[in-house]
Amino acid sequence: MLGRDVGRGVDEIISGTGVGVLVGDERWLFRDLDLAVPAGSCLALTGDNGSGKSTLLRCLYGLQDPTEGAVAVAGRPPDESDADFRREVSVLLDDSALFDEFTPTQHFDLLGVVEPEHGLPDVPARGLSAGQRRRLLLLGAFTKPHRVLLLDEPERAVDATGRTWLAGMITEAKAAGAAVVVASHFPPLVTAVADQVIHL
Amino acid sequence: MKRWLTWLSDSSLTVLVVLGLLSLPFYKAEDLRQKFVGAHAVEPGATMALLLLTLAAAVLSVLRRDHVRANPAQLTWDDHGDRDRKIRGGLWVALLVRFVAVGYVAVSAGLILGWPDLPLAAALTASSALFAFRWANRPYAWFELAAPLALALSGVLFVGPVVLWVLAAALAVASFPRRRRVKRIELVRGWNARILRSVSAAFGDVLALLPPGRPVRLRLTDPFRFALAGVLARRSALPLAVLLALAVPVLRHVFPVVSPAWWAGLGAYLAVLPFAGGLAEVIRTAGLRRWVSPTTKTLKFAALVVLTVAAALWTAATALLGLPFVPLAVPLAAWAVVRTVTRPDVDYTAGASVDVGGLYSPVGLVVQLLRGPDLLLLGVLVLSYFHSS
Repeated sequence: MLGRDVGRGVDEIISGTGVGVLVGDERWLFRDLDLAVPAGSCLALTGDNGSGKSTLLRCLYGLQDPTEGAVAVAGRPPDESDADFRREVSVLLDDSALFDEFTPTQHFDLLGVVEPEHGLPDVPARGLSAGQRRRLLLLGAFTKPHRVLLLDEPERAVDATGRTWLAGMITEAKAAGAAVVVASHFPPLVTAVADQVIHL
Repeated sequence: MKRWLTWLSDSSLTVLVVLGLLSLPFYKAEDLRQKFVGAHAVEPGATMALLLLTLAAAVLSVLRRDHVRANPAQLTWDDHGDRDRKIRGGLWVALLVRFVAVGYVAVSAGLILGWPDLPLAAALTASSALFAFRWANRPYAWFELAAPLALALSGVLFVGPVVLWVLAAALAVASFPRRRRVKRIELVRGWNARILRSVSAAFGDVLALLPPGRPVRLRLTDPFRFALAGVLARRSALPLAVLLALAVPVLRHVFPVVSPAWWAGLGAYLAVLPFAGGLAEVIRTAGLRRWVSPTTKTLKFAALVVLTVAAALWTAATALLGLPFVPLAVPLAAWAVVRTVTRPDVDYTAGASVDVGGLYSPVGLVVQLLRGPDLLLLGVLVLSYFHSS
């Protein structure tokens, strides 16, 4: 069920031991999962729909507690309600959203970062296509300063050129020292960026 | 029919209580006059002023076009017939409900405060209904708001019958536009809005009803600019705020016994609340909160400052129209608004039901929903001691 070929190192930013999540009364989504993601590397989560990839990402962001085992992210138990934790972790999850009335420039203003080169039209987000909205969400996650990057199916709604760009952005994040966990259904992306793969 | 009977049976106690309260003007008119007018002389034209305000509210409400909706599933699978017929039916129901309410207010006010010029009242009601009917059948145009605002302004200025006859004629003449067919995208948007309203009503979650934002050209480089953008983006709430600013001084004139602190506090709260939609949205939606780096405390403070300015502008407008100035009502209303929109998500499992005057109420839910209004009511209660009539 689980890939457990994970390395251990002193500089691991994400770690987990014996992690398991029980669904209902008797179905384990995953169990006995060990994780170790050092700085500058990428762990890819693969598997069918409903296999637990998004759930594991939620556990790593502190949106959900594992039923058993423990995880640590950036040296602490994950807790997205803690502002200090949020400052270290950048995410793209299912619930990520845009302010429909604000333009891309205004979104980067909110993050307090220099607006990256993006090529998106300077219109309110409600006027962007599905692919452009996804790209803006991705840019937000990449641009926000972070030590940890958690991405849930980032390739969704992104065209072929965008997927190449996406792989480049993840590689850049790794080069900048971030620990990346990406759940993906797109094998070329996994091949391009992953240092470890866990198949759920 | 069976569904309605079941509902009536389930809610019989509530219906009885509401009907009892609504029937008070018909047999306790003198008591109500004593309660709200006291020893003061009834303002001449008071009933007409109230009628004009309720007409303004009714027209503004119909012009929201809540009747323009259709189930997307029906549009997909059963779109062969005349879909406009159903929309017209919805508009008739919307008009009927609102103008029955207008009629009730007019009759109650007539019993308590004295009867207005009935032909004039009838002419104004008919021309307002005609205007609302014709314009609600067309796409939105900003200048249509001139009608409800003219009605409310006539009320606040207590204008004479000649001007009111001219207004009635103008509304009738302005009802010339012809119906225009509605596009599918508007029907689906209306349907989604209705679902949102139904769910919000069912769960007592009024914050979901705050208006969505519109684009605003402002760099969002600090929390104050973000708060200001949130307010400017909700400019669709401006007509309601203006209507309230016109209505509150009239109510103060008509019911002089009630302390101005109540009118100023409640009015400012209701006028400013929709403008806090930006803060509510970012606090409630985790995916949006991640874009905004300042702490929640900083966001609240910035919103409080900006909303205090908005409440001050609203209060200044009402003071110009004759409402006594209650300075402390300004920060109080803004603070209550911030407290309201930043309340935690409602926990529907909290608390048991208790009997409140014959109505069973989930007390845990009520306590949560009162977060914000509780501060306002307490504050206004204190202020009313210093600003009694």
